[in-house]
Amino acid sequence: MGTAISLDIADPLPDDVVTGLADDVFAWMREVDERFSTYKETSEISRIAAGTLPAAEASPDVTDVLAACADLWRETDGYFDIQAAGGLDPSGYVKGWAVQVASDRLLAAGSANHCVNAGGDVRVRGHPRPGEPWRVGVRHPFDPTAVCFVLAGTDLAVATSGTYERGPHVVDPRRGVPAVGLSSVTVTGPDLGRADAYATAAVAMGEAGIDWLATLHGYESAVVTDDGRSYRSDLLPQA
Amino acid sequence: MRRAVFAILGTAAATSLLVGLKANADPQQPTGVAQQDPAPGPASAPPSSAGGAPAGQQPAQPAQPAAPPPAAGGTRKIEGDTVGTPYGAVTVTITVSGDKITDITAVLPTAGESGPRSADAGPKLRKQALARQSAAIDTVSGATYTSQAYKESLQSALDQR
Repeated sequence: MGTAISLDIADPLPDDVVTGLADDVFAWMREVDERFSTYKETSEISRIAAGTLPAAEASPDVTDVLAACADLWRETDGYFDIQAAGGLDPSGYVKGWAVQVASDRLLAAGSANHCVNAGGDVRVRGHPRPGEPWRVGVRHPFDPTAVCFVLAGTDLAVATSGTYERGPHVVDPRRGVPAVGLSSVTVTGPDLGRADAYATAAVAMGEAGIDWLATLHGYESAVVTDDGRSYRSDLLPQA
Repeated sequence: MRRAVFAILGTAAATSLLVGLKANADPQQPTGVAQQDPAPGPASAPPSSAGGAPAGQQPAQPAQPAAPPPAAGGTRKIEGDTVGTPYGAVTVTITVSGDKITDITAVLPTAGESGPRSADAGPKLRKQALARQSAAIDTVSGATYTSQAYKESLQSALDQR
């Protein structure tokens, strides 16, 4: 299984500069994969889970991520839970966080106009064309060729979790059974790691996630239920 | 100058959104009501929540300093903090008689799991018709793609522009 990463750099920069920026982004994503993958026995996360690497000796990035996940666990009443099934799997935060860091680094390196998309987690900045915001479609849960929301922004994180591609695989940690009720949950806001975790937590809550999402501050949401109802928060940045 | 670049990582850092059953309690991080120590309860109960010294090193601490025990047979009720849950606000009250907890009650949302969805239960998301659009977009947000699903996705088509 792999994660598709799409990068769009829209700045008026020389070719070699754009290529260098893109290389840096992909090198960073590979580094994250090496250190956080639950599929690689040598990753820091796998070694922490196996007890061969004390958490206190992990790299600062890993410690920071685990601390953020612990905060999110409390903030979501336990519904965002990286100790799923007894293991250690921070993937529901790591992918969004890694893209957020990639975008932050692009900005610091001189790219004010870009879009980074890893497996459907999106961070946009600036403009794709002069004067226009980035337009981010949200995949329609029942039709892979269509979108059900179109969002627009010049500084926006968009994360989506759902059950339509892999079936009901997000487990409600309270009941210990796969969560059902919400086919697609999209969360937008300033930080993609948080947005990713919130979306995953809402899927785990099932229908109760709809009202929980409405209580978030600074993060907007869009939901499609299993039976095709659609909800959004008042301030969702729809195009 | 505008350029789109695309790559697939061989092994995903983050293909899994699995959130699974957590073995019941990490005592360091109480969650929800069931594990919430309703303290500031009787000081004679051994500390079970975060921050307390290991119970073994702290021989039964009499109640005197924190809360003088009520007269023999005295009974009092202590109401815990109200905790927000996805199902509504929950408040736990314990009844203490002497230095023993004799009763625990919880005020739960009255409408069961649909409690917070009752008419005036606070902020809500707005219902809107489920659209099926094919508007011009720059990128697609969606649930984690496998590389196979990616090949068939809208995003893949966008990357090939």
